[in-house]
Amino acid sequence: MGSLLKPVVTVGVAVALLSAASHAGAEGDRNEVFIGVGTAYFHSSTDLKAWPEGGVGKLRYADDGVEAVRLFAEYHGRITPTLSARVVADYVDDGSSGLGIDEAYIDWRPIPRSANQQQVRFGAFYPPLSLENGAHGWESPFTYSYSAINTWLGEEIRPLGAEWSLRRRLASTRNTQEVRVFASGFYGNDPAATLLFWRGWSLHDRQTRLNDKLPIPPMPIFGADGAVVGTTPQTVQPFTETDHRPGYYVGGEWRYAHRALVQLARYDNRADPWSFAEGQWGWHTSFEHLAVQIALPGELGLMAQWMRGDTDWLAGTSPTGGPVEPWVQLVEDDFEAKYLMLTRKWHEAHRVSVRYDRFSIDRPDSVPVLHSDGGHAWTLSYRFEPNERFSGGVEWLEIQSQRDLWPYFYGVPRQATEEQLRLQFSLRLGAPAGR
Amino acid sequence: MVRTLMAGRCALGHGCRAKALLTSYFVIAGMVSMRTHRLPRMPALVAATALIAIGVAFPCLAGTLEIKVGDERGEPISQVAVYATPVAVTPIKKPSAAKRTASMDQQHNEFVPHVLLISAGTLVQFPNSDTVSHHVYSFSQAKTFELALYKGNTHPPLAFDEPGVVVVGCNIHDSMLGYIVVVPTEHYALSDARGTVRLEGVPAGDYTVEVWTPRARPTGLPAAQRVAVTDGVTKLDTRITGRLAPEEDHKHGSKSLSWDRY
Repeated sequence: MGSLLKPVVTVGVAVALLSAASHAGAEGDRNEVFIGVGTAYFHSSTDLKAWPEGGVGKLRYADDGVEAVRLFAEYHGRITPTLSARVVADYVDDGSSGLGIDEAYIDWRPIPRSANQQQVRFGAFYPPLSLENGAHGWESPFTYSYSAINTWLGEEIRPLGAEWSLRRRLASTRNTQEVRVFASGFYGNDPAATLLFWRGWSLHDRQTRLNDKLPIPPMPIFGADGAVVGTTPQTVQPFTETDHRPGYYVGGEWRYAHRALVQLARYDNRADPWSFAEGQWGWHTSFEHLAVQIALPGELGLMAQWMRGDTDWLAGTSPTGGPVEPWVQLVEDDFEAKYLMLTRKWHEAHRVSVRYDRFSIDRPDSVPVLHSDGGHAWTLSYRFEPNERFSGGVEWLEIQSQRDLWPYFYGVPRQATEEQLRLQFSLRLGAPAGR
Repeated sequence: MVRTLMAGRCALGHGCRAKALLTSYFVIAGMVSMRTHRLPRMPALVAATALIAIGVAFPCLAGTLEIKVGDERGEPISQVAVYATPVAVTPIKKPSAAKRTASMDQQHNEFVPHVLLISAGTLVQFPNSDTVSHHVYSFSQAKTFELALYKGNTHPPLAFDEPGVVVVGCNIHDSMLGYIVVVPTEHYALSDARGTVRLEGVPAGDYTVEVWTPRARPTGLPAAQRVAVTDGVTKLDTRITGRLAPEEDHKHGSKSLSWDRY
C-alpha cells in the first residue's frame, strides 16, 4: 500500500480504457462508456488497523501515502431505444483487490403515453436510496467519503432481482410536483449487516463488488470461563443467497420542482438467520429509510438521510457453518444512522460541503444495553472542478466512536478518534456531470 | 418608411388594399418623373392625400399592443407566453408563406429555451448539444412524438400544427422538461424581465389576449381578454393569480444539489 507505482499503473490502464471509450463513443449513440480514476494522498491519525485489512478501524486507509483509490468504467449499451444494459466495473487495490463488477442490469423505460412513466430494472443494482451517490460509478459529487448510511449501502446492500418504479407528474402541464413509487423483489443480500455489526459504521468510498470477499474483524473464541482465548479470522460475502427466500424493498418519493424531495422506503432481506450457504450465515436485516433534500435560499443545498433498522443473527455460530452448538443464540441488534449535509457550489467549479453523521448499533435486549458501536463524524470537503475531465479536492474527516466490545474482544481502548486528511485528484473521461 | 413602401408592403405593417394603391402611386409618380426628369411633387402630394383619405375609409391601421403581466401584487413575471388572436379572422393553422423554423436545444441536461413560443405550423428542430444521448418525447395532445435516442442534430424538424401546450421530456433524464406553446396567431412574444410584451404592427381590430406559463396553476391564468387595437399604443394589464411555482431550470436555487438519480 502507498507505493507510487500503483497510481502510475492506474493512470496507464486509464489511458488504455480512454482509447476504448473514445472508440466506443465514435460508434454512435448505442454505446456510452464513462471512465473515472481517482488517486489520493492520505494523511491519517489513528491507532486502529484499517477495516479492509481485517481491523476494527473505520478508515479505509490507515497509513499515510498515495493510493490509487479507484478506477471504474460505466458502460451503457443500448439494445433498443428504450432498453439498455448498464455495467459498472472497477479496480481497487485494497482488501480483496483486483477487478470486480459493482452493478450489472438491464434497464427498460418505455416511452410514456400519459403522465405515468414506468421503469423496470433487472439485475444487480443499488436501491434508489442515496441522495449523495448520483454521479457515474455511484460516486458522490459532494464528499469523497460517503455518509455512514451510504457507505454501508455501498458495502452490503446490492439486490439481485427486479425493480419496478412509477413516476407521475401531478399535473401534466405543471411539473412542480411529482410522485414516484418503487418496489423490488430480490435474491442475495442475506448476510447484510455482518460487516456492519462486527466492524461498526464506517465512512469511506469503497464499494463492494459482486464477487468480493471482505475481511471483517475476527471472531473471538471464548474459553470455559467466558474469557476470550483467541480469535478466528472471518470474511463476508454480503451478496450471498443463503435461504432462497426473496427479500424486498418498497418506497415512495415526492418532489417539488428542483426545490424539495422527500423519500420514505423500507428494506427487508427476509433472510433466515438459521440458514448457512457458501460460507455465509443469513442475517435477517430490515430498515426504514427517510431522505430529505431541500434547496435553501442563497444557493445552499441541504441533504439529510436517516435510517433505523435491526438485524437478527445467530451469535456464537462457527464461521465454517459447523453444527449449531447449545450456546448459540439468536440476538437482535438495532442500528441507526443519520446525517445532515450542507453544500454549495460557486461559479460551477467550486464546491464546499460539510456533513455531520451520527450512528449507533445497540443490543437492547442485553442488560445493560450493549453499545456495539456509537459515535459521530464530521466531514469537510472542498472540490474544484474546472471542467468535466479533471477535478481535485481536499477533505477532512474526523470520526469519534466508542464500542463496548472492543476492550473485551480485541484489547483495544473503548473509545477512538480517527482523523484523516485527503488530497484527491480525479480524471473523468466521456463523463459529463450527472447521469 | 420609403423602403417599406418600395417593398410593396403596407406602411402600417401588414398586407391590405393600400398596397395596391401605393403601387399605383409609384407607377404614376414614376411616369411623371420620367416625363419631367424631376422628382414628382404635385402628384405625390395628391396621391398621398388620397392615400390617407383611403386609409381612413379602409381600416388598414396597425398599432402596438403593450401587455404587462404581473402576479396578484402586480410584481412582473417574465417568460410568460403572451399572444393576441384576431377575433374576426379565422385563426391560422398553418402559415401560408414559407415554414417558420425554431429550435429547442438540449444543453447540460436541460431544454433550452425552457419555454418555446411558436405560431402553428412552425418547424421545430431538437438538436442535442450534450455529450450524452437524449430520448425526446411528448405525450401531449397537441403533438405526440418521439425522437429516439440521439446526439447532435440527427432528426429532421417536426411541424407543430395544432395550437396547444406541448410538454417535452427526455426518457433518459427524468428531470429534463421543456414546453412548446403553439399559438394560432402571428402576434406573440414572451414577457421580458419587466413582465412586458410589446407586439408591434398588429392590424387594427378586435383581439383576444391570452397568457400561459408553466409556473401558474391553470385556474390562476386570466381568462382571454378582449381588446380593440387601434393606431398607436394599446395597453393592457393582465394578472396571474394564485401562487406561482418556482422557476424550474437548474439556474434557480438548485444547482448545488443533484436531482438526477435512478
